[in-house]
Amino acid sequence: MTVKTFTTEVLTSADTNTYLANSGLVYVTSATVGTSVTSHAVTNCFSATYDNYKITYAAGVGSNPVSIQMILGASVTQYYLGLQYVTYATGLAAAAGANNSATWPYVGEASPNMTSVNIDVFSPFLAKYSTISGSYAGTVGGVVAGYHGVATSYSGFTLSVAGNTMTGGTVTVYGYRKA
Amino acid sequence: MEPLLGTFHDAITGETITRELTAEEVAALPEPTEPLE
Repeated sequence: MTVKTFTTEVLTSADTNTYLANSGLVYVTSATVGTSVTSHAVTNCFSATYDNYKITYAAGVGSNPVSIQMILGASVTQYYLGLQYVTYATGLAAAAGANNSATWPYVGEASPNMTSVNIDVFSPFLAKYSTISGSYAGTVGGVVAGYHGVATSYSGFTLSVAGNTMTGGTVTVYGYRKA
Repeated sequence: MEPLLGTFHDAITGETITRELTAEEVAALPEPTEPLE
């Protein structure tokens, strides 16, 4: 796509549509999380249209401060993850990890005042290993990355909070435009 | 024990429902993570 620089022109519908369609991050879907739910599943959000995606979950609350976990499709094996984080009060760094886990365990957090998921997912629809990277904002602040060691195509994902619940807020999926 | 609920959203149809999780879905829920401190 040729990049135009507009100065004082009146934008045509053609130009406007071209730039809307060629934005880098394209909205795929979103939904409000229910009341006091343990999990939130999104199906048919990954497709051949995009290879890579951003998933966010904000403006909800959790019954207790607990990490949000994620799986692709119904797969419950071969999740690997590393989280490096800082405790606010001390500024000290620490880490947590998962090795061949049943989920990606620290993709975000739900707490009584907020929810936070900001994760990029790479290649979930391709029959390849998927990878993730993102941030962790909650009881602590940190960065998270990992992979799923199963070379299978998935069209959706599930967020869940073990032993707790989430209420409200919006889970949104965006696709990274390929070209 | 109260039933566990889940939200289910289909990106193609746009439909979103909240319903009780099935026994299989409950069995597939993850274990709690270690608290981050």
